[in-house]
Amino acid sequence: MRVDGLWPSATTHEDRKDEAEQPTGSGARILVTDDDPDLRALLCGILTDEGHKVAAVGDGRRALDSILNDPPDLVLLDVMMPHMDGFAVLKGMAEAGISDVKVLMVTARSAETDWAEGYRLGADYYVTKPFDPAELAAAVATVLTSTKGELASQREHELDKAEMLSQLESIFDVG
Amino acid sequence: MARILIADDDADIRQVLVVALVDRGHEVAAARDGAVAVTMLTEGTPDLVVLDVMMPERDGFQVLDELTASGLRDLTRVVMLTANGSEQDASRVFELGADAYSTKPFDTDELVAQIEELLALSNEELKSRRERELDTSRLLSQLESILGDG
Repeated sequence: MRVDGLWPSATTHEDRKDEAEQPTGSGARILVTDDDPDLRALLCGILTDEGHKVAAVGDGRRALDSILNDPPDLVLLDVMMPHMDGFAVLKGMAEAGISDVKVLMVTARSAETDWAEGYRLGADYYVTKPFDPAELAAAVATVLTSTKGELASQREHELDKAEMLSQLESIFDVG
Repeated sequence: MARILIADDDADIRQVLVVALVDRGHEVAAARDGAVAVTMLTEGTPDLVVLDVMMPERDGFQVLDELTASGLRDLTRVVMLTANGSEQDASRVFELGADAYSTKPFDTDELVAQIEELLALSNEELKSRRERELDTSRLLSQLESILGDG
């Protein structure tokens, strides 16, 4: 799967012979939000190696300010952040009418219901921590190369499944 | 906030500079060789590029030449990264149209300060600064040739 991004030739250049795999959606503008400086560094390293342009902030309020002032193509959104958590950022984006910025939630493995809450608030995709670099890069490529519509139908499907699972759980709890 | 490109074939150097500049609030991209750097410079016209001299595909000076040839040189400020001990490179950077240089191994904080100082200059200040540096480097090379002859 290859789609030309905003900076297409980073993917099409014929001299990239040492690349086993071509990055997809390369050249997107991505905002990384995470309060953990090591994770911000890791994410920025992975994303710039994929040919993306990155900026980063360490809390939700600055994330929302940045998104409203200069909307990127994609936001990597941590859930647990100081000042304003990832859900509040999603609500802020919806209130401001921002709908063309894609959102990839980065959630802790321990909080398995976070992704469903994120989806309800408009996130497009999620990755759980800890992740490996290839997994993260693949998720970013999927989000960047899918349309908002494709992501929305995938999201509906996941939410339906979550709903069914919770109904099943409640049935078995009763029984 | 400025848009900055890091062009270096050394992954560790890319990582260090990306992280340091992102933490200062800049938007950063990276290129791993000179050919990719040319493409990113001509299509993205960042505010500043950190350009390693020794890179595969095209070296930093060739990248700078291509940037100048494409007529986009004035849109991007250029900091060259030269290898320690290559005095020749250091004296060439201004002749070849760079705005500043730093020698590897560099102190990250100092390089970031140098980058931000360069970004804060007006185009006029930048131009006169480049002329002064060029003057100095010509004087130095004249001195060298006099001393070398004697």
